Amino acid sequence: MKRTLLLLFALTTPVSAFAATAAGDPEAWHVRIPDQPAVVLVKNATIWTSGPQGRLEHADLLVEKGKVVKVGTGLSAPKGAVIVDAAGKHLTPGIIDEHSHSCIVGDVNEGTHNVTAEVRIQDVINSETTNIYRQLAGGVTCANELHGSANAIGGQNCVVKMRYGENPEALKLAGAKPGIKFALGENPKQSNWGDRFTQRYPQTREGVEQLIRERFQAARDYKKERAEYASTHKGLPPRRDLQLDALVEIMDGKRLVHSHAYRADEMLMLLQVADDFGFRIGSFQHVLEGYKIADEIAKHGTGASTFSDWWAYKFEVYDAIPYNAAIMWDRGVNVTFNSDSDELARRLNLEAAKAVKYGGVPETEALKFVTLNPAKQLDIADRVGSLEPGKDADFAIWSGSPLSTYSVCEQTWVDGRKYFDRTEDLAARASFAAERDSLIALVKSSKKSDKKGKPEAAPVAGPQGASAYKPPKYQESDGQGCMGKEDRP
Amino acid sequence: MLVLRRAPFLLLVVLVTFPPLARGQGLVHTPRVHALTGARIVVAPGRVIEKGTIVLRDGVIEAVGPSVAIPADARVWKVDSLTIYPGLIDLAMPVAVTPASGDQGGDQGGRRGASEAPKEKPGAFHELEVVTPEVVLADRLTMKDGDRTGRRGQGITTVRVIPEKGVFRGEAAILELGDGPLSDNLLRREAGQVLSFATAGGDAYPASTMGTVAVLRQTILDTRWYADAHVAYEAKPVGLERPKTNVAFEALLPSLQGKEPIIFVTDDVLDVLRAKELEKEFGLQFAYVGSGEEYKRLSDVGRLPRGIVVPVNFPEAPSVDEPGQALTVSTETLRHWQNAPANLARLNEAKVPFAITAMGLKDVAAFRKNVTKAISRGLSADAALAATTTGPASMVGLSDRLGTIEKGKIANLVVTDGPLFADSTKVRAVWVDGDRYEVEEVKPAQGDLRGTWDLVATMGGTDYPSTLVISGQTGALSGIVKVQGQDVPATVTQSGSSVTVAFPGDAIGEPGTIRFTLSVKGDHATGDGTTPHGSFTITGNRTGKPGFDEGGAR
Amino acid sequence: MKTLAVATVLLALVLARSALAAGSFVIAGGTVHPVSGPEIPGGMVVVENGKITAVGANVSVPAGAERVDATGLQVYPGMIAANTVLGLQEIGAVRSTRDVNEVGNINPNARAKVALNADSELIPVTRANGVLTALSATAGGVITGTSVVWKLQGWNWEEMSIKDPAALHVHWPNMITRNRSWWDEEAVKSEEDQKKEREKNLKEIRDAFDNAKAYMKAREAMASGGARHDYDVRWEAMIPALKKQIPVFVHADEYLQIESALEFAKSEDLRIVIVGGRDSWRLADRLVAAQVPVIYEETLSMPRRSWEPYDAAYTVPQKLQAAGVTFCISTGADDASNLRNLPYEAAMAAAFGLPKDEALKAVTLYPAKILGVADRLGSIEPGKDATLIVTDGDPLEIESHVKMAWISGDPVDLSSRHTRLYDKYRNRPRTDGGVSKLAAAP
Repeated sequence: MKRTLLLLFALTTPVSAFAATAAGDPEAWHVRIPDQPAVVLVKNATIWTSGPQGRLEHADLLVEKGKVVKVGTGLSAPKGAVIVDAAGKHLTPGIIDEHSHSCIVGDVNEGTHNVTAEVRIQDVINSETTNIYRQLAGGVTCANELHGSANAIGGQNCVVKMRYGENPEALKLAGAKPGIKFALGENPKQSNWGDRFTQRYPQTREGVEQLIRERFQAARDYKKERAEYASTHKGLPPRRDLQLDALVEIMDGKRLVHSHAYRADEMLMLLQVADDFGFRIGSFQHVLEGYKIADEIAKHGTGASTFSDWWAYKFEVYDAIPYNAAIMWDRGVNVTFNSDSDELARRLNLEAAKAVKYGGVPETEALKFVTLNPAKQLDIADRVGSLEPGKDADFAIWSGSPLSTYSVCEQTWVDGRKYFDRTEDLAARASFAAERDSLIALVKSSKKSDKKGKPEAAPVAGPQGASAYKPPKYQESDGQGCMGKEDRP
Repeated sequence: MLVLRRAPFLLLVVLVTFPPLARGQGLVHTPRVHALTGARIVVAPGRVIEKGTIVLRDGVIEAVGPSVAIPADARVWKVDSLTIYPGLIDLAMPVAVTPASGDQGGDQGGRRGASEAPKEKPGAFHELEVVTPEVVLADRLTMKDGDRTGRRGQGITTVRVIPEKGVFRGEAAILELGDGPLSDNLLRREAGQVLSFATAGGDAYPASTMGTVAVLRQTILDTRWYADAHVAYEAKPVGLERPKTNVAFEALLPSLQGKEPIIFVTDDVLDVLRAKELEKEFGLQFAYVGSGEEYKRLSDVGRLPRGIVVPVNFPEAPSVDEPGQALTVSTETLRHWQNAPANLARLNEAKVPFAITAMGLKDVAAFRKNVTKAISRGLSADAALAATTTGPASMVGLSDRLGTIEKGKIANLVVTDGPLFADSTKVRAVWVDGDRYEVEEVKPAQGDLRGTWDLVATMGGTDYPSTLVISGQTGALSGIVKVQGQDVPATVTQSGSSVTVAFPGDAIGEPGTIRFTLSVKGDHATGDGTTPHGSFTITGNRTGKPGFDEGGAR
Repeated sequence: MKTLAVATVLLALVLARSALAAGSFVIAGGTVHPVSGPEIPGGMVVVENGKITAVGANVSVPAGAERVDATGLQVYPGMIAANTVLGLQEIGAVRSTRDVNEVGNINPNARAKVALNADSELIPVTRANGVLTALSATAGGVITGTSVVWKLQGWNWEEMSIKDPAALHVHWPNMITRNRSWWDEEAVKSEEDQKKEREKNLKEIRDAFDNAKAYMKAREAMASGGARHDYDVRWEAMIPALKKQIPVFVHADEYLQIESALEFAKSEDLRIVIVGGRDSWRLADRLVAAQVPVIYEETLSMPRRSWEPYDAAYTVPQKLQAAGVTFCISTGADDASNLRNLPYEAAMAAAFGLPKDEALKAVTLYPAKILGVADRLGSIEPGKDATLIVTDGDPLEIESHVKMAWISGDPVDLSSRHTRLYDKYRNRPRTDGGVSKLAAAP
């Protein structure tokens, strides 16, 4: 009797008593934020700094309060420091994914209007998605959350760090330079969306250019109007327009344009628009024909954030080649690899290896495609992207070369906190399974005790299945990584 | 929709409460002085009179106490062994806005591209269909009887109705749940602006959550600019181009100036955090309507000075009986099924001011049961009572009139045969504005009673065959009685595995309403009923299942 | 005179090439990885008339055989992509280039072979990284057609086809109803509607097989002098599967789907292969007992369920292998533009527990066996086709390159649209005075 009572008690205690700090918890709000040790010393690894020190063998990384202090050989740490023995392992800066939709609540596009510079990804950061943890498990520490490519001028971006467990505000990388998404080519002109989507202007590349130019002209006029009123106070105060505000910021160099684009002709077009309105484009995204105009891109100073080898899914990518990155790099463009996919984001280290395969980019340069170079494109290289003194202690420890397909990410640290550890993840699985089993047992026993009236299946009300409880917007429905399909049909 | 006409000599229709004698109708002059004696009176949470009397006069509590003199003109109700609570207050009842005549329905959302002009709506309104702060719900309110009686049956006597759709939804209203026209029941016509992150339907802007945030921010900026522009214009109109007129901004302005509450409706806990950022940006304070998952990020939710109204629509147990099926049930779902009933206790521990609402329940009849469950999971009974009486009264500034059983307050009472939040307790009667409504409490529905029933009613030795067709969905059933060659629409209410049917008798030459209750076991039904001429027994069988023979439900 | 000289030289080259092709050669000096046995450092592979005739450290070489120097390099069998739409689709977004999905639910008579585009730009890109054989299948409806195994170099589908029909394909209906669907243009279907559709689909499959059986029986009776029965193009196409001459490839990922398919196979007495197989490891015992192989397509995919461990998809091959399930690894079949990444799917499985030699087999010998072409392909053994690659490293490592390849003894052209565009643009004159650091491909 007593045992039954004890068992019942155990079963009815709140679930949060179970596995409250277990690694790999599918619910971010349920995890405990890892500690930030005062000092961490990672010893005896092959360290790929992505910085001036290059790649060092049998080297150490010294971290204090979340910042890199030193990279070198034979470093020492005070008593009480957390020591990580990384003999035989490889250590890299945390990977930065420059094109992500993985942490967004709701629709990635505001696809109803053709210009939506007033919408902001920072308003809809999804802190609760398992994508954050799964990307940590692939060595990712930072991601640029972007609006989709449905509109010629899309919404404002938000750079986040993979601080799994924190609330949305705490995920954001404070001080990152603001950016905004543009899109050129088949997507904003709705080429591949079917018969229902043939009416919204623009439906051609020519229209896309005119739309963009018209908006910048409007922004110029708006800026003048506001300046006039500020100095003369004549007439009515002008209305503040959030959309035009963002466009003015672009022209003032305060907001970087990250433009989805594939074809050489459309990129040349945007380069000229930028020149005409006096700003530098932050980056082209995908830029699969970038190799054809690598010199022009380099001259303008725009970054190129591309796929390693995707092609032939749309007509505008029929000329995409896996040597794209190497050619652009060879011509002096700042090149990065991005994922645009929840799934690929976990393997960006291997994408870097493709720059070695296709064109022979040296290994340490290739790794920069997913570390230092995206940091530069996002203008956050003062804080992240390489292991150099003063930068954030964002790093990953690998079982072998990060460019080897057989290597596994073993630990990932962000701000000097260990957010992912494969050993701990494996050790925690049994407790998660036990938790599921006991919850399922609870469900079954509760149904039995409800059985006096024997509830039969009640019909579902309404076509949407209007049940009493609606799962929240941020909960994944079926883990298909749908976000990555934004730019692919 | 069946309109209830209240004439004193007819038996009661359909929905399970018996309306009192009318007040305010010219013909009837029944006195409204009552004394309820011998009851255990819960004056307020934690304040109980073990045995006492309440005197009501003309809708107001005249006296309450252990030994109160009973006025000579009072009608006495002996309520020994029963308990009386203050009427409950539900601050989040979503209601559809009845379309205004001539309304063309939503426009397609303004287009802001280079070469498209926005579509026009009639009137000087905002171009977006989701921005309608000028809508006053009280002026566009059609309450269904089921809504009223369902909540009343749970002891709820006062509700704040909020519009269901939109980003800027318009003005909420507070009303009593009495029968009778709105003019009798309306407590506050304008009870605050209702805002949310709801997207527009179809292809209209905004279709994304971030789009709704942009709309919120731009509209707030526009409203403030509008006020400034008009002030500037009025000060010196000569020579200046006239600013546009926009009814929406004018309606929204008082709430942005803090003169009116802003009620923010959220669907999940991230919505609350997002709304708090808006509060910070614009120097506003919202009164929240929550989702039930506040416990997940409780420390980030914080104190919420204007409080939060929280539903108790706990998720049903997922189906996990087969291993293949159990695989599809996520750990999050399992945990939330387990944790949701404890949400209120957690809010209480964190000292977040909260109220409880029946919003979101598929079946309103589960309200008390679910609050009872929350109590079993750590919420004190007093806190539960406070969250349904004094708490909400204070949140809307009506503590002087509602929330407790005290002299001078509105005569809203709930009479039960036990503790209000206990599974075995039944609600016996509910008093709204001093008028009594008897309650046959609707139990949560059990079983599917839809289909075609062949029935035979027996009255005075004669058999009267008929067919009853029940369709619709649980919680919203409707019926047709086929009798003597006629198809008569009937109202149908399910309670447990019984169903009560009522239809106007004039189809078969009877004055008044014919009403019967069937108790169903499988496909067999028995019961009895009444007509103005007498009572009958009725029995029959289900001969057709719902769905396929009606051309399929979609 | 000059013209004659040029013509003679050209003729000689052409003849020499065809002599090389039709004749014999030996690949020597490199490490040979037969896959069916241990690796052979400094091994030799002798090819005659398109077939491997000898493999070993020291084998006799036929007179006149040309020597291909593989010093410092590795020799492997060509890889096999076990389920693709290669040749049937060029650009996913362009409807006119797609020949994958026929309308209607019952299309057993859709023959992938006849629609193969031998000059698809995707083919050279695929073989340049060592995938030299593929199975291509249609996917329209529920019973979607019969597939073909073909070699990725040749003149037309007739000449390139190795085995046709290879399998009869059935896409198992979803067993789990869903309330939400991403990117749906029509209204979301109610749970009831979805349930009805699922039952309709299952019944459809059952009826089709029953009808086909009845047809087969009647036609056999007719052949022995019985009553006349008209020809049915659809049921006729199902006969090889009914006779178990070819397997039924059942495309199923979820537990309940796989379970339902296993029950169906048992009751209908069919030989099936599970394609997709995301949850297959959960039914490993039953797959082994029923001797049902799995073509696992989901290595590089997200865990299906939010509560599954992050490496759920990566670890399935190891689990199948440990349980004794016959399996191989393939990419997904949504499009065929990156079949070249097939080895990296296997490598990921190896990184997460599958022994390395099993990973190599999973893209060579095992698909050959499951596709029924192991007599000709999948390993370097005498008697098999000389369908081989020579690489500068482990083909499962990204940094490796395929330096040479043969299909049935014919040298494979490793150039492609990609290498041509690469050469054009890396040689664009520079304006910065710099020097290119880029090498020629591959």
